[in-house]
Formats: sequence, structure tokens, C-alpha cells
Amino acid sequence: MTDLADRCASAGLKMTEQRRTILKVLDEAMDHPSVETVYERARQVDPAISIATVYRTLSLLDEMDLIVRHEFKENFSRYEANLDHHHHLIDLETGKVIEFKNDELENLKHRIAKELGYDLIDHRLELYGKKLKK
Amino acid sequence: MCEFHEDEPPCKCKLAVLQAYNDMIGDEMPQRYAREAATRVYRYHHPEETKELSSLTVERWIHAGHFH
Repeated sequence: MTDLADRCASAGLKMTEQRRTILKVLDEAMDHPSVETVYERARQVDPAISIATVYRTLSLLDEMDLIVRHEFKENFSRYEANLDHHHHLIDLETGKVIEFKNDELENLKHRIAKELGYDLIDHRLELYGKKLKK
Repeated sequence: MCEFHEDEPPCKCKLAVLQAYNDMIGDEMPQRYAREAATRVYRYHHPEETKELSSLTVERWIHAGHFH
């Protein structure tokens, strides 16, 4: 099962083959696909999937907060799996990896991309540090 | 910096390298990211080594199954 499928199962969502296919498409997406793009990708796996099924599944996942709907400056929504977004700080002395979240950092990343004329689609950030001596 | 390089006596950098790798994998990060993090930790302890040798050493430790 995909990560997203695991989370849907945990949330009690009844899993059908078509839903599983849609979840796989979302899980593997490196971009923020629109409904039509999800539909096209899902159809390559299962030609029997209808756009209505894709719409219904995405709405349901959105309601369950399992995916994030983005409203860019377009006339349609784009979606991505709502993964627990966080970064890592790696202690160079011990190798311990510390997870952290920072809203200011999130906003900054989007602002930088926007100032450069882009929508931020993906990024990767790891901090490496040495513990301060008290 | 780390005084030891080989397996015996127990090496501080080796534990740190495997800890970083293990923590990243445990957080469902892709293997290549975990390997990169582990290699950076290794290079902090052994800045004198080449990138290639550092990567090889880290690979060897990871595949030796010393983690967990």
C-alpha cells in the first residue's frame, strides 16, 4: 500500500481498486496535479476510471483532510497528499535526527519562489549542526 | 573530531553515521537522502577523507547491518 493509502485505511476509508489507483497517483505525484491530470494518470493504470470517480474521491479525501487542495491563480484546484511536512536537523556529533516545523520558514520558501516568478512545487531542506555548549 | 576510524575500538563516528542513517530511514526518508545525511555526518568526523572514500565507508557500514 502507498503511504496515503495507509493513512486512508487508518482513517476508516473504504478502499476500492479505483480509489487505490487514485491514491497511488497522488502519492507518486511530484507536482500538484489538477483533477484532470489525476484522471489522465489514473486512466493509464485503469482505463475504467471515470472523471466523476476522481472528483468524488478527491472531494472525500479533501473532507477527510488527507489531501491538500491548492487554489493557485487558475480556474481549477490542484491537489497533493497531505503528508506531515517537516524538516530535519542532523546533529553532526551524534547523528541524531531532530524533526522540526517552522511556519516562518514555510512562508519564506513560498515567498522566495514567488519573488523569482515561480509557484513552489517541491523542496528539500536539512540542517546540520553541532549542539551549543551551555 | 573522531579519534578512531576502524571498527575496534568502538568508533564514535560510526555510531553517529548509523544513527543518522537509521533515523532518516525511520522517518520514511528515501534511502539516498538517508545515505547523504550519513555521509555528511561521516565527513564532519573525517574531513581529511575524499568524498569517494567517505561514501564507500558509509556504504560498507550501512550494508554491514550494524544499524538498529
